[in-house]
Amino acid sequence: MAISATLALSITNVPNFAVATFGTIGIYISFTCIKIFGIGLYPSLIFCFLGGGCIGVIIYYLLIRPLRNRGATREELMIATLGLDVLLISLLNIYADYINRTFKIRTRDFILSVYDFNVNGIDGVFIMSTLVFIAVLALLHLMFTKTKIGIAMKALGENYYLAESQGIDAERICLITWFLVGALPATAGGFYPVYWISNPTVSFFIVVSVFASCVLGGFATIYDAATGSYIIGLAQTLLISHLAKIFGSWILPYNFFVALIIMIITLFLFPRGLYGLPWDKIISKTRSILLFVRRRG
Amino acid sequence: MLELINVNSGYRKHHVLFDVSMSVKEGIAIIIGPNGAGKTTLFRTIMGLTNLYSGRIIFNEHDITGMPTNKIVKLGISYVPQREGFFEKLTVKENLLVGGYLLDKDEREARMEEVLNLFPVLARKDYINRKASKLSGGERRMLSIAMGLMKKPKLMLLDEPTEGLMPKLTIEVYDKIREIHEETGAQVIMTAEKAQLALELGEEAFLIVGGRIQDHRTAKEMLNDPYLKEKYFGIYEQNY
Repeated sequence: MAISATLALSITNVPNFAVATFGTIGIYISFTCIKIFGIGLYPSLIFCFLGGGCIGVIIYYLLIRPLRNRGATREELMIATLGLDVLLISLLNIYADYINRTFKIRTRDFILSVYDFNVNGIDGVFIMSTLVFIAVLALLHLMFTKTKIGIAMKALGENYYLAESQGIDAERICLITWFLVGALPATAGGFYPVYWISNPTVSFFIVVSVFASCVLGGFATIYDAATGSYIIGLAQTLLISHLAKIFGSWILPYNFFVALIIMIITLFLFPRGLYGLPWDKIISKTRSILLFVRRRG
Repeated sequence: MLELINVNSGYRKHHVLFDVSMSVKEGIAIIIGPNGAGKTTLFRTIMGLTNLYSGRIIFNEHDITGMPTNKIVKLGISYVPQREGFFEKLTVKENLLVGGYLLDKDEREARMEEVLNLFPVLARKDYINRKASKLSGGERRMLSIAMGLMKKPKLMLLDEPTEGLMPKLTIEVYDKIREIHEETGAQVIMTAEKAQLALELGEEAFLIVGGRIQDHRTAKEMLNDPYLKEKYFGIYEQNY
């Protein structure tokens, strides 16, 4: 989800506050595939990817493009995505009620862990989410470094008009970007109900972690977003479980507080995130310290 | 050949060009004028990057009025902007690839080789994979022009290609432009801050003031006009 938010901002200049709800869309696509069409948990991820991508494209055509053609600023687009978030949550609630009444199945506060597999005590979701994450990151890396479209995306993100005057079809690139902006969080959302209790408003809790990951990463490249997500995810899981041992299990629902604190610290200490850190200097200083320690040793 | 007929354009409600009509033949044409005269807006209008209120633009018998920028580029017009004519975060090689975006893979590779032959400094091993932001002022201008050339253009619009460069580098860039024109046969239209040097390079010239074409003559005639010399490029004559 953090990669999606970073793509939307760094390529199409849209701060997408509806990104977590794109994840909820993935949850309900996965739910529909499993409960209504009898498709397996992991095959349903393909539908999450395609369905989320199509919704991303529709949103680009109906909301982002018309607003941008009218000269909307980045802040105005941000407010528009906040409105979109409210609309999508309402639509998901309507959909959940419709499925509940039509098929007589529980569509709120559900969990899909029974559909997962287990290998030597390791949950399938852990294996599959890691594999999908690595595959997505590798494919995106290849796309951005080896393909014409990926390089065009980077160019468009840096200077829209200059990219257009190089012959790049900016509309097409924005469309592909918004397909990914919708597809990636929806695929991530497909994993969510395997582990967590899900409902149409679950994005309220996810969004904090997503934006904390983006802020920590620096809202610049997919690699920083991925690193930010991993740090936030680990901090949320490990720190809270450690604190629960000390203070008791009542602290567990406050795990999003950890993400919030990391976001605040990042904004105070290095507001451009990991991307903005002077890595050249950090590496050369670390090298000189290591050399010094070796010589002393 | 490029022809503008009664073009009125600007940025939303800010009207910049007023009834601009001009016809530019093959060769090198120079557009001179004071700061804020509308030189950059003229190029941006041709490329479809401003609001065109009225008028028509014809290029090689194609009506490109209101055409999307990428389609205008496809017809063979290459625009090298005054500033930020390249992508800072991309490497020299990636910038050239973006420059040749419309070519297919094999054609792009071959073209890159041809272009790098014209700009050997960019072809050096330590340069080709360097981030464009780490290049010097002169190298940046060379990269911008090289990106423009990657498109195999029929017409190149160069906006102040020597802006901010030292006199020696300015002469180098102008020599390169002449070389490009002679070797590729591409028509060149450029705006120039250092008007005298540019007029020595060009064949015909236009004077634009306040968003209107005020004068159109051969570059040589303009160069020898004492009034223009004093008003628009006298200061540069002293420098060189």
